[in-house]
Amino acid sequence: MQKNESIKKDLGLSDLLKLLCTAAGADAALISTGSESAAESIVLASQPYGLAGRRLPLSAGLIGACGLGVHPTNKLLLPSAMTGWLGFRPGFVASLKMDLAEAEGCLFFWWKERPNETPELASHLQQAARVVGDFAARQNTAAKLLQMQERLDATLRNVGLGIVFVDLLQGSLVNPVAAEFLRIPATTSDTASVVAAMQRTRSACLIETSEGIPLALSVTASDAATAEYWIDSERKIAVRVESHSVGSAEVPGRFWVFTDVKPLWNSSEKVKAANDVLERNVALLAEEMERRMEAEAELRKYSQGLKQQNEELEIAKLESDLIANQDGLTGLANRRRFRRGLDDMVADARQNGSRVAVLYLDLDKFKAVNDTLATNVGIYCCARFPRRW
Amino acid sequence: MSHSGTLSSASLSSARCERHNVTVTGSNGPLLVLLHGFGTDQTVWRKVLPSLEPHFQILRMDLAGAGPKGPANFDPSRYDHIESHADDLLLVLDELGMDQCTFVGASVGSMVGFLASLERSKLFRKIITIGASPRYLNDGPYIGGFEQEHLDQIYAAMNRDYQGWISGFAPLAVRGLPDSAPVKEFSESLFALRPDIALSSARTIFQSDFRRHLPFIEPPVVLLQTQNDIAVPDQVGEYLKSHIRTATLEVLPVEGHFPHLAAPEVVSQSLLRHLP
Repeated sequence: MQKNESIKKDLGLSDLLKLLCTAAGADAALISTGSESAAESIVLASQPYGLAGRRLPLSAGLIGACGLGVHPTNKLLLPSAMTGWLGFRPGFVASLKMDLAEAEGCLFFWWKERPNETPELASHLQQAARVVGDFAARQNTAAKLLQMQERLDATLRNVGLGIVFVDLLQGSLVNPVAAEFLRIPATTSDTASVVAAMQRTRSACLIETSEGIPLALSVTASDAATAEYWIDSERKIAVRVESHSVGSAEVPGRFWVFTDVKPLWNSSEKVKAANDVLERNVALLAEEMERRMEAEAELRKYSQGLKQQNEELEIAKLESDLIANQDGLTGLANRRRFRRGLDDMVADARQNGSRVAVLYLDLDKFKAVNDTLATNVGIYCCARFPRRW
Repeated sequence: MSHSGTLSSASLSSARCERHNVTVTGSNGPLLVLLHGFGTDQTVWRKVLPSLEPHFQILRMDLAGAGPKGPANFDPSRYDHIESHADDLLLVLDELGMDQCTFVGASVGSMVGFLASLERSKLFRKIITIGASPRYLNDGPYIGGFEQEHLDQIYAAMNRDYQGWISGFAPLAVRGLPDSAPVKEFSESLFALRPDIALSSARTIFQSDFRRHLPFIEPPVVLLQTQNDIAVPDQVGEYLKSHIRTATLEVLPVEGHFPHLAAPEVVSQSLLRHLP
C-alpha cells in the first residue's frame, strides 16, 4: 500500500530529537520512558546517537528536576553512562514529562554551560515535549494501522466472496473475486476507477431490487445497508450485492459484498450454507474495516498536527538560533557567537596563511552612567555604542 | 569530610542496600569502599579486612548477580553494560548520604569505580585498583591480553561445562596449585555463581572497552598491578598509567589476578601505604 511507503519515509524519533536539540541550542538530548514510579528508564532516542535501547536509572533528584526549567546538575546524580557517551559531564539540564503513547516519558536537554533562559527557550521546551508525545502517538497508530492492514489484506485474499471496499479519502480495495466480476485488475486502488467499474457492470445487468431479501448481516445499528440482485445474462451469472456503510460522517466508507446466488435456483440448502459463510466473513470483515477507518482517522489527525508543529518548530529554530547567538542586552553577537566566529576565522587564517586582528573596545567609567542616569540608560548606551562606532 | 558514623542500621536496611547486601564494619575512621570483581563477592576481602578495620569505616557491597542475593537481582538486559554497576554504586552511596570515600576496586570493580568517578569525581578522594583493565581484547598496537577467538572459546567452555571450565580457569587466574587454599576459595566462589549469570557477566566484562573514558578520570588513582596476571598483561598497567592523568603505578611482588586472596598481607601493606 502507498501508506506503508509514506510511513517509512517519515522522520524517525532520533531525527526529530536532533532537530529539537539544535533548536533548543542544547549540546545533547535524550528521550526516555520513565516516571517517579519507575526506578528505571529505557532510552528511546538520544542525540548524539548511541544510547537508544540502553536502560538507565533515573535518580529521584533527576526526575524531581523535571519541569523546573534549566537546572544545574551538580547536585543531581546522573546515569554514569552519560559522561562516557557525551565525553563531558553536562552542567545543566532541562527536562519535561511527556505522554508517550501508552507510557510516561521524559525529554531531557543537556548543556555544557548554562544556556540563556529566555521565555522562547521555555516555550520551545514545552513545544518539544508536545511534538515528541504526538510523534510517539502517531508512530504507535501508524504501526497499529500497518498491522491491521496486513490482517485485512489476508482476510480479503482468503475470502471466497467478492469484496469491494471504498474509502472515500484513502482509496479503495478490490479483492480478486470482485476484480474478476468487475473486470478490473485486482490492484486497482483509486476510488474513481472502482466506482466506474461497478457502475459499468451494474448497467450491463438486469437489476432486481428486492425488498423481501433478508440481509445477510447488519453491520452497525446505523448501517444503511441495501441488497439487490445483479443478473448478468451475457455471462449467465446472478449475484447478490449487499452494500454496507462503515466509518463515520467525517471518514465515510462503504463496502459491497458480491455473492454468487446461482444456487438460489437450485436448492435452498445451498443458499443457507452460502449465507452462513457470508455472515461469518462479512462480520469479520466489517470489524476489520471499521478498525482500519478509525486508525486512519487518528493517523490523519496526528499527521495534520505534526505538519503544523513542524512549521512552528522551524520558526522556533530560527528564533532560537538568533537567541543563542545574540546578546540579549545589546543585540550584538554574544560571546558564543564571537567564539565560534573567531574560531572559524583563525582556522581560515591558518589554512590560507592570512591574519586575523581583534579589536578590543573597553568602555571606561561606564559605572558612572549607570549610577547617575539609571540602568536603562546604561543599557541604551550599551546598545547604541557599537552601532555608532 | 566523610559522613563517618552517620550510617544507621535503618539506612542499611533500605531495599537498595538489602539488594546489594551492603555491609559496614570497622572503626570510626574515614570511609573506605571495597568493591569485588568477577566471580567473587564481598567476602573476597575477608583476608585484608583485619588490617584495615582498625583505621577505617569499611563499606562492602555485592555487585548485581554476585553474592547470596545476586541471582534475584540480576537482569541480564540491564547489566549488559558495566555502567549499570557504576550506577548501583552511586545510588547506594547517594542513598547513604556519603559525600566522600576512598575506593578500592578489584578487577572489574576497579572499572566500576572509575566509571562512577566520571559522574561524581568529588565523591572519590582516591581510587586504588587491583588488576584493572579498560579493555581485555587486543586492538592493533593495544595489548589487552585476549583475542576474540580466545574469548569465544572461553564462553563456549563456560556454556558447555561450567564446572569443568572453573577447574581449568581458577588455578590460572589465581596462579596457584589447584589444591591451594586461594584457588579453592575462588573456585567455590565461581561455583556459587549461577552459570548463566557468570557467562553473561564474563561477556559484558571481556567485551567492554573504556579506553576513551580514561582521560576524564579526575581523582588520584593508584594502580596496583601483579605479575603474570592472566587477565591483565603488564602493558595494560602502563597503558592505564599513561592515559589517566592522576595515576601512579605500583607493581606488587606477587602473581595472579587475585593478590587479595593469594597474598593478602602484601595487598594490606600496599593499601595501608596508599590510604589516607
